[in-house]
Amino acid sequence: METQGLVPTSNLKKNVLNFSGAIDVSPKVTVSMNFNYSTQTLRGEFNDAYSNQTTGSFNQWFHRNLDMKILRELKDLRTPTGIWASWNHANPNSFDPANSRAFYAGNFWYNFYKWFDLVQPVSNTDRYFGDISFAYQPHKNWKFRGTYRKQQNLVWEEEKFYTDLVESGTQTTGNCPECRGFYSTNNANTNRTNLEGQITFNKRYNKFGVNASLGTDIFRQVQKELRANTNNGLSVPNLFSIANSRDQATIVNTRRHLRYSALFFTGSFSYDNFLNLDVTYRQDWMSELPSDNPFITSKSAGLSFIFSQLLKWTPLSFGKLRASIGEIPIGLGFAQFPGFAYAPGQFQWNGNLMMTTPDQLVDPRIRGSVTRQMEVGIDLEFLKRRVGVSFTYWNGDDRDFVTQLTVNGSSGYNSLLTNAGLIKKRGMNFKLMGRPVWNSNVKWEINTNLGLLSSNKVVDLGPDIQKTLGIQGNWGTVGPYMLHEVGKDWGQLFGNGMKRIDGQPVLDAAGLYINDPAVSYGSVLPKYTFGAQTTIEYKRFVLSANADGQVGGKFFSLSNMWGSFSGLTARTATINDKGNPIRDAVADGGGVHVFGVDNTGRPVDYYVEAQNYFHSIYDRRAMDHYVYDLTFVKLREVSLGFSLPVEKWSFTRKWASKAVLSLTARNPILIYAKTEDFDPSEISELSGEAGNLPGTRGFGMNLKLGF
Amino acid sequence: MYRKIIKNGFVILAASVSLSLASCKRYSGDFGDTNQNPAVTSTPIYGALLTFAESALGGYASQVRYGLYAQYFSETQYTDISLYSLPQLAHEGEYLGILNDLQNIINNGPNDNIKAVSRILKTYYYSTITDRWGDVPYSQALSGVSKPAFDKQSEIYTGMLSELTAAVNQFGGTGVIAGDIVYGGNVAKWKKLANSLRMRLAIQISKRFPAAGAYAAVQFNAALNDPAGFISDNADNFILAYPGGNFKSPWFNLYDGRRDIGESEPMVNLLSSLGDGRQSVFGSSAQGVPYGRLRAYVDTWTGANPNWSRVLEPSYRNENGKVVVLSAAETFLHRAEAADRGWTSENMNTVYQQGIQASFSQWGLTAPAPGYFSQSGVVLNQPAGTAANLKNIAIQQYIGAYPDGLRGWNIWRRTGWPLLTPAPDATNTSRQIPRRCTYGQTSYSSNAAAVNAAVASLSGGDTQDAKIWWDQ
Repeated sequence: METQGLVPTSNLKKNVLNFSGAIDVSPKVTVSMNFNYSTQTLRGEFNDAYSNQTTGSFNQWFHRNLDMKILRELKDLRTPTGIWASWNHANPNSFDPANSRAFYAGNFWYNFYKWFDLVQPVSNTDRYFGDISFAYQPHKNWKFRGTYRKQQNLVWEEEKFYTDLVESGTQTTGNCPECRGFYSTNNANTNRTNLEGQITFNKRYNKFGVNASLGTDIFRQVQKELRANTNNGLSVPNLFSIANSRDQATIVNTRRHLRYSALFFTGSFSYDNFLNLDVTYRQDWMSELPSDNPFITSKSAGLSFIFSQLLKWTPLSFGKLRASIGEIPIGLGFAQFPGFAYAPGQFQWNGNLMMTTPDQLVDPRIRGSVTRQMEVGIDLEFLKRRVGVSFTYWNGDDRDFVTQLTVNGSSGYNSLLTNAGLIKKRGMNFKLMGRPVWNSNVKWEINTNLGLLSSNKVVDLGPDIQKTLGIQGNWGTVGPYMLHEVGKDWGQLFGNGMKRIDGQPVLDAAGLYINDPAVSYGSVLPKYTFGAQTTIEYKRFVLSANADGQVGGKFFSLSNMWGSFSGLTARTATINDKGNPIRDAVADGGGVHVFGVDNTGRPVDYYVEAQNYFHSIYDRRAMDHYVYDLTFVKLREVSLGFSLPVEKWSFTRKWASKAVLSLTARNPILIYAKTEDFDPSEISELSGEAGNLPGTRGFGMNLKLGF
Repeated sequence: MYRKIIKNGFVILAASVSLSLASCKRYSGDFGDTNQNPAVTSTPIYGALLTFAESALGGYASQVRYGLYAQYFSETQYTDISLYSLPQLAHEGEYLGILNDLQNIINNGPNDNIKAVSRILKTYYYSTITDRWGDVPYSQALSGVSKPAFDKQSEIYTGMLSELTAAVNQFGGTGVIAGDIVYGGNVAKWKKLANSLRMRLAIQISKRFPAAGAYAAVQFNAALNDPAGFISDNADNFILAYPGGNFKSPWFNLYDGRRDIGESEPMVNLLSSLGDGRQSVFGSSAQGVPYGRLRAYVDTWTGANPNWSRVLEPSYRNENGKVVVLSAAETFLHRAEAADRGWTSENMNTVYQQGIQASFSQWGLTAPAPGYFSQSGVVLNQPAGTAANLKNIAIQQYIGAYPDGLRGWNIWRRTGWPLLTPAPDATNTSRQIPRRCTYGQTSYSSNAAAVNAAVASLSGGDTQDAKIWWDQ
């Protein structure tokens, strides 16, 4: 399989081979084997971080007057001195005929289309996995099975940045050190094996059924990685090898080992096919846990009751009540315990080794933990399954989980790895299915679901801790970033914003905002999520559509911050309430009309020069302007299919059983978004975006053949 | 055949069972060294911690932000800091790295000499922190308290001065100062540095203790009269020399890719008004960049004047260049100020002229002609002990500290000299040059009660206009 990407020069090649077989070597003994191999090569540069050379420019530091078609056409244009031409020049008044490169070379940005010729990342993954198992059934109620599983991943990655980049740019290496010319390579090998043994007892006693197993699982993982990159450019231009690094190359080798052993019991008990009980009990011993307390015990139980079988009420075609509780074991990760270790720095200062003290303390009594989730629900189907409804209530408490307790850095450390905390999650899920028309000509089905996250409260973060440090942010701690805070929902967007009195922004005498360094914007997670899907079949046509959406949740947009700073966003070119462009001078009736209060709370308003206004939002960190709501409704996909009558056509009848030709539109309409500036369904990070590649709308035609 | 398969089946079964049995050890949790990272050690090499802590010195003495506040430099394309955008910066990272490495040596190091060196370095770094924010954690910092209280700057200064005194007295024995990339383990030079640093700190608090015989003067005299001496020769300067390659001089890095910063027009004008030869090394040309203007203005200006002065003449910013952290010139000029204030009875004019000469020679320049010293902007023509010569002394201290922006900003905040005009296009509310950095996000999220207590004692709150203790 080969797919060309939307980003120039990107593509994905993938091949898969699998084999499975079983031999009954005797009536009681079966040996079976599965083998899978896949190989994948991915090429292309998909950077969507700040100052990336595509959207990082286009939405933050671009010229709106450029024609992208001409940029593409002039991809291979060279300047009189032979470097690649860019659209981003120094000021024309700086042109010096004796040094034309200083003008023609890309000041900060290259021609986007040339960029993709000059930056070539590739990653190749070969994955083998399979198992061989031996089953022995000495008696119809008893079975023994032994399985050996193995999975091996071989990854090879490489990145090349041509030296042309440094010749064709003037200030580009400031944000892109690789643009000096760069080569990196990585070889990683991960090997996972499981050895499993299981004894199963299976029997029916009249209406009672029993299926119980006792088993063991012995796991081992070895991960080895060797990574290297050049520093400060390439000695011989465009020669891509580690040895060709101008400064000493960086070399990192990593070895990680994990093992666990587990004993488990699973039991499944049924009565008359309408009452079912499932239980499990599992004990894990993990290498990543302290050797004096390496255990984690996890349990689960589930009960279901199909009451429609007893009721025998005709309109109810199916009715089921269900309840379950489950636990998932969580270890610490490799070498987190005992932690507090020193690593020698690779580079020496005139022969002097360098080391630094670890920043994380580790609790000597740390232990593994489990996450626990409980749910109860009901599933109902009526009128021969023409209408279905399902409801689930769930709750989960994460208690004494492994966490990095925040420690203020002035103590010399920034965290303590320990067990602490309590996060309470509560939610509900509704599903509704209907078949308004269902006959031999027309089949119309609608499925909808609604999820409500009713509570996701951080109750406790450990002794005397109110807030964690920043967990994820898109502009350090200058822009709002995500953390957890006691008493609030999981994932608060917190940080810089405007100082307010009774909700009104405080303005200084110039009409500009004043900073408040500790503004809470709310959770980054939506409160409600919903989706709907419908299919109508009429004769040979099938029309289907699906939409989804969410309500609530906040994000911070770096693209909007810099786009407004540099005057790229629409809001920087509006008309003010005097009917004049805000970019006109205040003296000429232009400017942004800013409303707020003075420092005593008295209402004030000012007209402020547009550039001052938009620069001051950043200069004073009044980030409220770039925090948005995640609420949206989006039509994700619409498709119309037609089944070709291949069974009737003489030239296809013999070899084709089915052929469906369909037209598909992906992301056709963003029906509603609370923010006008950015599609909130496409943001790439928990707390927002830093230079997101945009969502794409796609139209396609597809032919599916069955043989 | 069939029997053979069955037999083999049992062999596999038996093998699996015995394998499981062999693994029984793992059900007791004994996984041997599986969980050990082979690339790390639990035992630090103290010399390596010291090298790491010293390698940061050059960065501290070349901070561009404060050079912009002091008007040594101008921004050339994106004017932001020099228009006084909010200097909201976190101090925690500095404790986390270098300071904690030094504390680790002080607590656990192999000998008194390396511990004393670490105390001196720790004090230098602390002084740069309190001079930026004012009150910061000190007495409870680096001691295992997870939310350290903020100490008053007055108490931090008292603590630092007594720490330096104690460090000088702690040297002794034959313990080797391993990993010392500054003085190569030379104890005598470290003692001189400690005494010169004591003089710097005592002078820095002179606004609070102007009188002869007061705390600052007493501390100054104690350092001046310490038998171990102080830095009076450029050969003893506290300098970080970069090896180049993977560790390049920050002044090299400043133009290795971008060109955001230039020598300022006010700085060039000051030097030119004195006919000061140091301009030949302080910048790449005599065309200073206009200070504190909006982007549109300065961008057009640099386009029209492509030879605008870069910071330092190119041969002074090689990748293996040097950054001076504390010099003989500075110490001479502190002694001149102390004499002028009547703290000491040294010959004010002699040490003043020695200071200027040491500054020229530190840059490899020949001493200026006598006319330089006699001009009104340089000469000290009021009697010593009257504190009436402060303007010219401060201006020489300011020129001598170039390009260490934090030093320049400290001198200006302390003395008011040279007269600096705030950025014409300043975007902050007061439109004045910042007097301090505001506390960072990390303090508000992880040490809220302590930072709020510190903010309560600032006049006007946590703003860049609030004056820190020694500036009041």
